Amino acid sequence: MRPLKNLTLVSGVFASLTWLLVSGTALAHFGMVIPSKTFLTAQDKNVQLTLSFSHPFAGTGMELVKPDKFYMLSNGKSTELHSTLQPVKVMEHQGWQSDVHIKRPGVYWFVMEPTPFWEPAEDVFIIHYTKTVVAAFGDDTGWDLPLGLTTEIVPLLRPFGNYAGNSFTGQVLLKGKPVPDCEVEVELYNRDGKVKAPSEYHITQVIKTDSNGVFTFTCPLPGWWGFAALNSADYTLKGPNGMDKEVELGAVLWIYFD
Amino acid sequence: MNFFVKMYSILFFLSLFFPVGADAHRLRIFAWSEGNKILGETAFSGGRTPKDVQVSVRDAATDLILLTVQTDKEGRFSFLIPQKAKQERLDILLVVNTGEGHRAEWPLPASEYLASSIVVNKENTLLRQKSVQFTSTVTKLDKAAIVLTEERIRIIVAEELDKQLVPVKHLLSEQKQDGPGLQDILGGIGYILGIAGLLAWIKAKKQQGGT
Repeated sequence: MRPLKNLTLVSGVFASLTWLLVSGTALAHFGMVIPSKTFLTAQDKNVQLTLSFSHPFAGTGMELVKPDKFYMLSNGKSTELHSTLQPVKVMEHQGWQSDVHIKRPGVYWFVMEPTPFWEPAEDVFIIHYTKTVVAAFGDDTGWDLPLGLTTEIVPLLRPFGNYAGNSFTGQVLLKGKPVPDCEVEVELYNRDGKVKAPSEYHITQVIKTDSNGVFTFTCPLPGWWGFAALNSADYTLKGPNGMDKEVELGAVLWIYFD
Repeated sequence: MNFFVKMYSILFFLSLFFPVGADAHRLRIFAWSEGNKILGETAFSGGRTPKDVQVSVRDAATDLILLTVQTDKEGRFSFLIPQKAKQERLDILLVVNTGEGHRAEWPLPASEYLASSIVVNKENTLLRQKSVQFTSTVTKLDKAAIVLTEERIRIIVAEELDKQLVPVKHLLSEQKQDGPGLQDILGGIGYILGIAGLLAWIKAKKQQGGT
């Protein structure tokens, strides 16, 4: 009886470890810029942005060094917000926060350009150009314009005022040009951990762009959904050992579905 | 007869692709205060502006209309803060209604519009104090007259400046609106050519059938 019990215990531990290892590799990295609300009204003109670098479904954080740039774009005008960033803990790791007061109607894009993140497990640097959007005071113009980032997802579905079950369509651009056949990773920000993935495959879902760089993904649950379109940079960076290392460029977009 | 039925069906089908009516266009209004004035703008979703529509300025508590103003061709408007609103510190509600279910409102609490008015008044007071100090040194002259004269000039200058600056302020606050791009124009031409081609084809078919 006893050896059998031990065997069961050992198998259990082994299975758990295997799951941890496997699921560990299945987690996708996401630059995250999450606003406290998706639209502003006459009674509510302030928004707080939380910046992090995380595994949003698993709720696992990584250290986010103070980003290279953080700014707001609206009506063709850029507002620098880097100086407003305050350190904060996000998923028990270094993140950043900014409080913004909006005065005028508009569609406000918030963009984070992080410093390259060295990922030893993948032997690669990761730079996720991350953006999200907040609509203010009823205005809804300008949500469909490229912001001119190194790489970005341009929404073809208005990126606010959507229900869970709506399909998001976006176009992936790299240096302003559509990227055909590009892999886009999709994750739900499982903030309270209530959503349980039936399998490790469900954690990060994957879709590819068509010949015009366009993809469509139906978001089945309410919450923040992150889309990360991944491409390799045409340059390398020196790794910790002094060797040239590849750079993964991510175009990350966060949008909310009610 | 057959030709007309065909044409009607084709035109009906094509009409589905053109925007008909403005039902889906949500209306919005936004306003802010500058000095003794309230400035505002109205727009439909997508950025188009309602032209020459009325905006009613109401007491938010009682819904009593204090005054009505007309928007310009750009959907903008401005008016002096009503004395009644100022004196009684009324929270204002601006309402624009273009009919057909298009109605929007924007609240402007007294605390918000009086704040900018107070700033101006404070500046006035400061100016007045400075002017009094100045006039007190010019003892030979009629102090009151100088104060009044300066005050009057200041008001005239302020009013004129305000008047002249309104378009500039509007320009500054203008939102980016994209007109039809090259793609839209080419698309439009394509549509026209397509319809013309279709008509020619149907006509040719009909003639062929006739002969």
